[in-house]
Amino acid sequence: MSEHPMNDEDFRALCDAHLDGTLTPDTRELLTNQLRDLQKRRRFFVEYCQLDAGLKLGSGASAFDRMPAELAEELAQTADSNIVEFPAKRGIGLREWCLAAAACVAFLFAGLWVGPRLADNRQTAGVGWISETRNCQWGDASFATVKGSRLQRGDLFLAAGHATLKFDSGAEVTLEGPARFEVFDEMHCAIREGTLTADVPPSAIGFTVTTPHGDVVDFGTKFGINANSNGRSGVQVIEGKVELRHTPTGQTLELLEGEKAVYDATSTKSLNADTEAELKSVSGRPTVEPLVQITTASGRGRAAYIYSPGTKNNFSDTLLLLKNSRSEQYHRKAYLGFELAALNRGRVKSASLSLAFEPTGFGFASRQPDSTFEVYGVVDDKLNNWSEQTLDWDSAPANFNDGAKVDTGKARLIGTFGVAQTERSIVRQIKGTALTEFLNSRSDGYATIIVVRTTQESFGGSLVHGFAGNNHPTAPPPTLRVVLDQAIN
Amino acid sequence: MTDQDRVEYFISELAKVERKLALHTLTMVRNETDAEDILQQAKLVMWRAFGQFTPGTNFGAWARKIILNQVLTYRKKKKRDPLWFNDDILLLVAEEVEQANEALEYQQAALKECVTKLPTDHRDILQLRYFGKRSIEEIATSCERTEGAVYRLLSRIRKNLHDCISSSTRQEALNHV
Repeated sequence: MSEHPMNDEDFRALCDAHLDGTLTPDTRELLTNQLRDLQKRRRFFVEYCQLDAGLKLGSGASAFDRMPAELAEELAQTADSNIVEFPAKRGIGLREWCLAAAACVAFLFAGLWVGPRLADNRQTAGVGWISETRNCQWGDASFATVKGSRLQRGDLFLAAGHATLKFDSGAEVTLEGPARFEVFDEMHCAIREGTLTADVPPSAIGFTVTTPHGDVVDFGTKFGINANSNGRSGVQVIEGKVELRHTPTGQTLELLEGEKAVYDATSTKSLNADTEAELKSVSGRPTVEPLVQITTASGRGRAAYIYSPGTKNNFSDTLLLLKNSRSEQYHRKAYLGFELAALNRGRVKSASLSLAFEPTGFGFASRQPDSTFEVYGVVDDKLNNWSEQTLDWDSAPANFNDGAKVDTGKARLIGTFGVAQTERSIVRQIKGTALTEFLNSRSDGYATIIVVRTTQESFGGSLVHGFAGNNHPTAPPPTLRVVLDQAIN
Repeated sequence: MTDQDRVEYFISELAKVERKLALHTLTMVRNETDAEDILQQAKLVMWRAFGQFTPGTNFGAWARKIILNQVLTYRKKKKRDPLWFNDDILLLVAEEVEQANEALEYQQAALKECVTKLPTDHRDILQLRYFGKRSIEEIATSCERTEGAVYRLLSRIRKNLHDCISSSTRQEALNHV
């Protein structure tokens, strides 16, 4: 018999306080006494904590599925000690096995969360990050390219400079611009044109770099690759061992420290030091398009958002907010100003505008369907004279008192894009002739662009979208990437 | 058994129970960062002690013992942390967790089912708290409620889920009579 009588509801409240981290010394003692004295309390406590643990783990892979780096290294070293050909001749390598096992565990519990994901600032999707940049000039990219950005599946073009990409597998790739590169996952990437060096630790054995006519599979080593625009590629092993799998012929070539090979659509050739000159011949450079990047944070650039009268809370200093509300309050639209002086009045051949969306933490995603957004260019140059400090709903250029509409006499549609209900940290881009023509028709060297969300919230309290403005700590500001007709020397 | 076979055997045994071990650790240790540290360290210990594991016996039970030792070791470092229970309580709870282990898989499946039965706004709150890792204060601001109201709502949701799992478990037991 317990010396501490307590009803079930009060005990459950103690368990809640334990899970919420709100126990005081007194309530902690009460809980401890109950747990010490009564087995039925312990059973309930464990069931309640298991429920909480299940919710914490949710579905999909979590940090708990991760293999500690130290363990992965020890396992790889043990396996390596007497398996010379590991993993190519085994059909499935340790690393692939680990990934497959983790994927199976994740799959078992997929769907615990049946609703859409809600905004989450701490969620970091991706397969690695950009760990170092030196004098980088970036071209088109499917994801943010500032130092520290997460690598996502997609393409990137490094016009100049050196960038080091650290994959979550441990593999490290340094790109030498100009280079066209594609990220698949933490164990697989591709170089379409240009030069890279790779440093692959034991944890990433099996790391593969696809080139135009072959895959270079690593066995824990350092190597370099040149991929030429004429389809000829070269690989050189600096340390360790790689396997070149020549796609057109199916031939494989093992390359050891100091060895090199060149290959194209028809053949591969192993080289020795005497024929090094031949390897150098494949070190061609891709054609560089004259690219100019302009952000709202450069020169006289500006970035701000407006909100309809009566909006009382949920503001942001770092994100430009967007919402098409069901009421008259809480509409938001974003205004971007780009100084075009860097174009030197050159003719724009093509252009893109990138916006880095980040979670705002305001509202429920489940109440907001997949959303479409419209981007307008203000065509009346007299309206370019707005200021971030004074911009408001009534004075904003070409604004209409509506959640999505703008005055199409003063601004014209230059692009649209969509954001799915479950997408959070994502870069969206518009490009096309409407944007190009809009930039070419600016006579005073300045462009004002308006972004609105056309999709209205389904119910009150729905998600507020937002993309990085000029003060965001990590995500890049709105960026125009412009290719000019005239070549840059 | 070659080293390669031993590695593959270890990984395959670990993969089979990995999620259950994570649940086990999180049940014992409320703080996710602490639980993750403990589990990572325990996995390393499991590999280093794998020579002592008898093939064909219960890897999960063996692994849970290692986790308990790691929890107690970790607890020593957190002696002054008021959020941690004393060793005697931890051992009593561990015993109960061990007893409950058999039903764990079914209870987790029931939990998955029970979450789908919750009203949308309750699921939204759970997502913010558990998937979004939002603080109570952030949820309160986001949903325009007081912090007290959010605590009460979370408590009610957990109670509903526990009731739902219990009723599902009772039904399952009846089906097997």
